[in-house]
Amino acid sequence: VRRVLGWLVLLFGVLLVAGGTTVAVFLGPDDRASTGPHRLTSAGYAILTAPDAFQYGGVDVELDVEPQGRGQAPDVFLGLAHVVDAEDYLGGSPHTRIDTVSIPWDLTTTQVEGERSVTTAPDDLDWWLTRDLGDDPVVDFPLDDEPVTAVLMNVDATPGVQADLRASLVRPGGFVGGIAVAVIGVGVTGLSRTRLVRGDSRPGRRRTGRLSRRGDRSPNSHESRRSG
Amino acid sequence: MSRWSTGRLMAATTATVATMVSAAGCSVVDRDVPETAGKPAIRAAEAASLVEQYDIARSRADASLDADQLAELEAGALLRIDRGLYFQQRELGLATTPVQLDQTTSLIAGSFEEYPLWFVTVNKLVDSQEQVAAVFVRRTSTAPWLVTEAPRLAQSTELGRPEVASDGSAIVFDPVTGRWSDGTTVERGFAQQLIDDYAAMLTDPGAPGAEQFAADSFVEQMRQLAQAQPGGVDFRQQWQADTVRHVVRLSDGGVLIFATLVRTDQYTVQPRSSLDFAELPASAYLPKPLRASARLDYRHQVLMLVPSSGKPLVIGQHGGLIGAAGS
Repeated sequence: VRRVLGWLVLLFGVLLVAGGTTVAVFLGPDDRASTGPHRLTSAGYAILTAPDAFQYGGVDVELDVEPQGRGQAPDVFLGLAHVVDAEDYLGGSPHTRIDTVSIPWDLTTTQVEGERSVTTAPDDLDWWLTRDLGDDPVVDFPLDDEPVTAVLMNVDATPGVQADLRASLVRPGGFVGGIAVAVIGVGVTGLSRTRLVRGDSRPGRRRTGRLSRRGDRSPNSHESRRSG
Repeated sequence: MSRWSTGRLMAATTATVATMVSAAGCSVVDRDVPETAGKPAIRAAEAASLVEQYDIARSRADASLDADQLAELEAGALLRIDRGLYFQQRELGLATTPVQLDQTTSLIAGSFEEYPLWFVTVNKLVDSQEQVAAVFVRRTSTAPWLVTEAPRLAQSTELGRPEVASDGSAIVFDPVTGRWSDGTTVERGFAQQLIDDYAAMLTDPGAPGAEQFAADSFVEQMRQLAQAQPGGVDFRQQWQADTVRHVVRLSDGGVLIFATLVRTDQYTVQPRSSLDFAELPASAYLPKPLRASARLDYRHQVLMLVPSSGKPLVIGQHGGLIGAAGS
């Protein structure tokens, strides 16, 4: 049994090394994994994410957009809203919905048809959870279980949105944490390996094990347990 | 160290790693976004700011009796009532008492899956023995918050503690679906039926369902007004209930219903008689004595308490004359 547990600990240590190293390499010293720029285009009034577009939580997301388009591109608005507010604001109007976001980068989108015009500029509204606008707006927010949606629009709420998006997953302390986990994994691996090798080469320990298997009432067994 | 069993070693290692991983915040978890999730109507700090803005703007409107400014703060029957008061004060040169809100003593805010959003604040009124339960409504995401109901309560009146959900939002009723915000259902029109019965009882004390209500001060006051009519005229008063939209459940099982009542006073002047509203608010609309008939339109906003045991009663009201016609 001890040999099996020893091998399990060794495997555990190896997994810690692999996992910690992967996290550290994935995030890098700046604690973020970035992708982009990716071109986003909609003929409608907005590009927005479905509430469950990001499937993983426990990290922060940073979105950084740069307006694009022929001629002089209008400034864009980037905001995060509760889905109740966003649906009331943009529901019934044509827009593009991002249904899923897969890392490193794959989107599934739906073109939502609609007749309603959006007449109120997004920056005139007070319910945004976070927002930014201009020629390089940036917002960041935690991915928790709140039903929120990220919304990209032209600042004047005109249809036809085009921008390049850079997305980053941010985990403060993730790089150091990954290295720490890997170091601990190295320690666990080394320790378990030492134990396995030492356990194999110590006949006394093996004998004690055999004695203890005879029964708890043997004097050697009692002695063995007391010393252990 | 050599005496450690493998099990202990593993347990110690696991605990250490778990602590380190938690501290480093490396945990990435599946998100569990609910399919239908309500949004709290407002947070306490935002409500406090809104009340403060309303108070400042309302004082400014009261000082100038400017109905246009009032329309940026209020809507519905409340706007009609307060606009009527402005008109009467201006026409009759009456002294004005600005509405000034003191500290908020209670905030009742539900959670909503769609607009309109609404919440209630209870505030003491400065230099007054009354408090006001103001219903703020936001009809759409692009509309401003407006006060639509504002029944006044005696300083000593307590609304009771609203029942709250696990997220701290008050349990409110959707009269369209018949559903409370915690998902429980009741008869869809229960609140509307109560207010309809109350209005019928005001019109006729012997109306069916009149016995279910306690004899509250609002009923007494309206009966006294109806009886104090001049001679030489036939008087008829009718009451109707407006659509009920705002209902709150209390933690003790009681219910608060905000409602607007439509009151119509009709006068038929008998031959060789006349009707004169001199020194009454109606004289702002009807300054000269009348020989034939008159019709006065009022709105009264009431707050009805349906206790967990006992008869429903009105615990607050705000009302006034909104228009009049006669000949």
